[in-house]
Amino acid sequence: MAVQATETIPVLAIMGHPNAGKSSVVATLTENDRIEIDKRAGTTTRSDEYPVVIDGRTIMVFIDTPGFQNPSDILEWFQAHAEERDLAGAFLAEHGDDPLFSHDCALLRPVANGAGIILVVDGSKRIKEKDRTEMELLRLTGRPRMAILNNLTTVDRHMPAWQDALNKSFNAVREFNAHRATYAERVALLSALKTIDQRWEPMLNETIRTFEHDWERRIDESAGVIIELMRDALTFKVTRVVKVDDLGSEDEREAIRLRLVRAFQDGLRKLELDARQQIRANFRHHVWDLPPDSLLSKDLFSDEVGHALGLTQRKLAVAGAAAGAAAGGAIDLGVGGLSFGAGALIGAAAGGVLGILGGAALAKVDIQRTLGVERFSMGPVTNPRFPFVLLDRVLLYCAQAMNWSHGRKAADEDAPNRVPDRPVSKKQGYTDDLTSVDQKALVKFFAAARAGKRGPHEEQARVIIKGLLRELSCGEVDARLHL
Amino acid sequence: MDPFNRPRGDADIPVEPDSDQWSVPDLIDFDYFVNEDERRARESAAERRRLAERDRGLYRERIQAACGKVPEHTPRHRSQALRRWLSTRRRAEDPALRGLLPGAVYARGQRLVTTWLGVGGFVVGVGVASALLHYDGQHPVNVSWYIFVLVLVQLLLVGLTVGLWYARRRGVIRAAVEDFSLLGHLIKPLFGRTARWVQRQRLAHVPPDVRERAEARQGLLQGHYALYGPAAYLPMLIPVQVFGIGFNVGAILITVALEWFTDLAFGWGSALNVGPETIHAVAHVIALPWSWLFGEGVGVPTLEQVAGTRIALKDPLFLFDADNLRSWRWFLVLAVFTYGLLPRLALLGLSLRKQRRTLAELPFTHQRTQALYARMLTPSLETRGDSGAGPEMPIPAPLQPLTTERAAPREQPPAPPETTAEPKPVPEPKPGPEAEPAPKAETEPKPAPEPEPEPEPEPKPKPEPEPEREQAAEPELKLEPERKPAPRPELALQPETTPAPQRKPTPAQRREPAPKPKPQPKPAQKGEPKPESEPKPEPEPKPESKPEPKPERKAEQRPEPKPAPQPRPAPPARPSLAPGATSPGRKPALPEIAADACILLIHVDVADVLEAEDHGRLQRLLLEQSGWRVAASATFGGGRRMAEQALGLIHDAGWQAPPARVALLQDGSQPPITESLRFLRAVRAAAGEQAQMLLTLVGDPEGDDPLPPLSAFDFGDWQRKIEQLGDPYLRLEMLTGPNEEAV
Repeated sequence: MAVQATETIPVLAIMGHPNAGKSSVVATLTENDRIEIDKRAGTTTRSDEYPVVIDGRTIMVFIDTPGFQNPSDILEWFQAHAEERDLAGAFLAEHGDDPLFSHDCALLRPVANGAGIILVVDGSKRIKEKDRTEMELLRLTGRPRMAILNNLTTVDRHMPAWQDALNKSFNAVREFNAHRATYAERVALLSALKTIDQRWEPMLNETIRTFEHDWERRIDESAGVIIELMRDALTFKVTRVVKVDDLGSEDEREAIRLRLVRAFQDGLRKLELDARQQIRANFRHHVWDLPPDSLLSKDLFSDEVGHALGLTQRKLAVAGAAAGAAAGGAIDLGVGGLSFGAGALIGAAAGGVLGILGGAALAKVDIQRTLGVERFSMGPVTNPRFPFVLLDRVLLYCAQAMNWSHGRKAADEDAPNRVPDRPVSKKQGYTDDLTSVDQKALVKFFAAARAGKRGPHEEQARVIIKGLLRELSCGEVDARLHL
Repeated sequence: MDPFNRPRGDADIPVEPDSDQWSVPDLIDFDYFVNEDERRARESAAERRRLAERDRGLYRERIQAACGKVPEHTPRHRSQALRRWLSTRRRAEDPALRGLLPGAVYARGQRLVTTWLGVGGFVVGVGVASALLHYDGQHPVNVSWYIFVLVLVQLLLVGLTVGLWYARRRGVIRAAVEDFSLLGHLIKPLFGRTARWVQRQRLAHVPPDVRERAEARQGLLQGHYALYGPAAYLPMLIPVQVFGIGFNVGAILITVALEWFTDLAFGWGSALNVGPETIHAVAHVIALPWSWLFGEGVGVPTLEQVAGTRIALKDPLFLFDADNLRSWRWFLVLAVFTYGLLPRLALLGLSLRKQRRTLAELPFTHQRTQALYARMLTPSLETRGDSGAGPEMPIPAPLQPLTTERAAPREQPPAPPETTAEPKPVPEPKPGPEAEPAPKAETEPKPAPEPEPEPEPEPKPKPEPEPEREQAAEPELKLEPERKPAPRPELALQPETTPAPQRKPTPAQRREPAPKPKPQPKPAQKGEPKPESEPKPEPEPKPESKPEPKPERKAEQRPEPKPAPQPRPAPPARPSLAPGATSPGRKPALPEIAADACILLIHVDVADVLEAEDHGRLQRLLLEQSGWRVAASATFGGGRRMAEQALGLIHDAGWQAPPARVALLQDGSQPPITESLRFLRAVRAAAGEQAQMLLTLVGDPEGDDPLPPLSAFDFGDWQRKIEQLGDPYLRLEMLTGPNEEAV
């Protein structure tokens, strides 16, 4: 509690009555998913400081306070001591050692030290007596103050009343869903803080700039991870050498082929998983994980994924033909995978593969016989659709990682009236919505990656991916959290 | 020149002076460091964070100041910042390994190659020139051949180089240059091979531990010297120029030497009808660059000399004039010097300059470089702090009954008077620092006195509750306006001390009414003595109290309080029944509370949404739950004044069948806070130690139902807190009708 608010460092005490979602707001604003958020009331029982440190310099501090325990008494005391200049300080002086007021003192202490106030109220509930009491007593403190209407549900009929009531006592009122706030909304909230106390402007500007920088860096790194994943996946190969003597019958040969296919798929799954880990860490998630019903939790090679993501066959054919680079893929497309002899076709174990990949084989199985051994090899991926499916998956993952609020872990996802992430749109990935020019560029990139080349196509693909990620973070492109 | 006699390389890798200039070895080292970082960054997120911290740290500590006022994100800033970064990285490198850095190795290799090429060129030049100047005394040296090979061909090569240089941006030419350039195919691998060789030599002369370290360092020894962009081929161009210079120097030196030490005869010939005039004119044209210095007869032969050196195969050599035969010597030297050496020197100079400029203009926008640059410029952003659990929310200690009827009892000041006033010796009221001990203290003494919960099913149906509640409801409506003008300006603390004396008399008053306990026997008369007939105390009351629709429910609920169904052993000990006690300012019309009725306190937030018709339902629900009718009601939760009114009502009511019965209706969707618990304590104090209290919780109305059921989660929250209060006569329930279920 040693924070002395100087004139320049914004110190903001997040207040509200127990359970209003203060901790969620702090967690989301500071992207700290390690803040304990418990749905039980009064989980935060002392004022915890969450400094924002830029280059080792504390530039602003959020203080998560416990909820008010005796709001009426505080208000009455304030009203009775209206002549005090520093009401919060005077209250502390008088009640500092009263255990019954320990929480109230803890939360008023930052205010007494000059902190600004962010009142968090639950906009889904109607205004209660206690809310009025708190608004009034915070008004009496005379500190710069902003109110956050944290509405986690679809119930919005109380919102106008809240707006009116809050406008009377607060310098600024903002709606903010701590469980759904995107990066852009976070930055907007920080910007709004400038309006409640002009002296904070320089520091807040720096904070915002740094947030923006940091975000750009993350997008950059994520795009790098995605490009890397695509390159690795498209050059991935599995080989198995078997002595001819061990190959007794066709059955054994078939078994080996199946194992090869499985190893190939597992390898690709592993690559995807690694990329996800990196992206997850990139966006500072320690707790978040995919909901089990997400499309992303489904197997990479499942039918469902194959249907929902990637390009439609028609678009793929257009892009592929126009790009000219995927001639092989286009041929595969045309003949639906039948171009490979029975031996090259992926076996029955990969039945699902046919669905996802639009009929074409994922990759060729190649068998070479030399000096008493047979080399079974599979890869790299030749299926023209697969890279789009994979890219869609990882983009979708990225979208969810960047749009998943850090304060969301205690969210009641099953509540019937919670805010749906977005109006549910069609089940589809992102690549299908790209312009055909971009799709062509991607096809070229995939072809180059398959050949192990790095070049202008890779840069183009990177630009496309970064653009998409940027739009996602501003909410210009739907994050499709329902997928 | 000995690459391996200085394995440490300390001499040629001086500890970097800070520089903004890039060199090719710098680029190679830079590439190496960036590669290494990239590889590490791929390993884990933690590693990435460390890299980001390191680079940001380097930038802030060493680089930022050095870059001065150059604005960020400009090519100049990028180049400078990255160059400084490289210096710092190199300095931070293990000194033993510094000499093995690819840049150093490459520089050494480049120097070696260049030297070799220079020497090689010299030797070739000597060879070619001496071959051309071969003179056996029979035939004079043919000037035409000398000029053709040493001047014309060289000029052509220079012209080709220059032409390619300028045409290199054109697509076709570029491809041709890339594919067929001698530089790319011969010299580049030569460089790489030499550098690797240098490295091997160095490694061989290094202590084993250093070698191990170097080998452990991935990428350090891979000998991969790829450069990107325009910087890629310039380094190749320079050694070629050196070769050319060596060649020309060799040719010139050997020509001069031969002329010096041997007598050479020069001549020219032609099978065509070319006259000496033509040759003289050509020679003059060739000699233009130096004819101003070395004129006719010195730098260029005269017409006569030209004519005199025309070789006809039929003529023997001795026919020629010896002076004429020598007359070409300086012309040849000067021609090679002018057309062979000077262009090469010029090209070398140009290449060096171009290289420097290219290096200075490198954009460093390669994606990997971008990542590094971004790491340096991006301020490290850290949000710290982890929340911990501090002390739980305070649980108020029980208040001494009799004395406090207020919602907001301030403990300290009033406490002393209260304790003194109390008949009880136990100083419980002190809200010590620990909230927990207090409840215990309370529970312990209690066990003896039994709550005898529903003994007062007096057959007094009271239809009045409705009007009364309306009265009570009035204050709610006024609430908001009231509270803002500070309903009571009294300081919270002082009023308590002042009223305390007033209250002292009350215990006495209450004890007078104590006789009232006598009514208790009534239930016994009507039904059986409750203690014995524990299982069914209700059925009997039912017939009397018509309004009760559901006897079963009550029977179910009753059991809870029953565990101690003894008649109060010490009726006088319950001084809390103070029907007669009036506190100043209270309504004179004191409600008489029948034995089957209770006082209902409704939280303002609930009262706010209750319509007139809802009250009926509320009462019905309450009756089902408790068996009580509502005799009077009041609101609470809106500040002290409201609380005092409510407490006063309890305090002043005329209780029949004494232990008071108070039901509280609270909005359970609001988590319990100290304030709400303190009000419960105050009610307890006002109603009496063994008064029956029922706290019913409703949910927050979202639809049309003003009394929705409470979620199990919220109920659990309350349950925990109520348990901590440790009040054995306080029952917590959800207000649910027979058809309503807790969500």
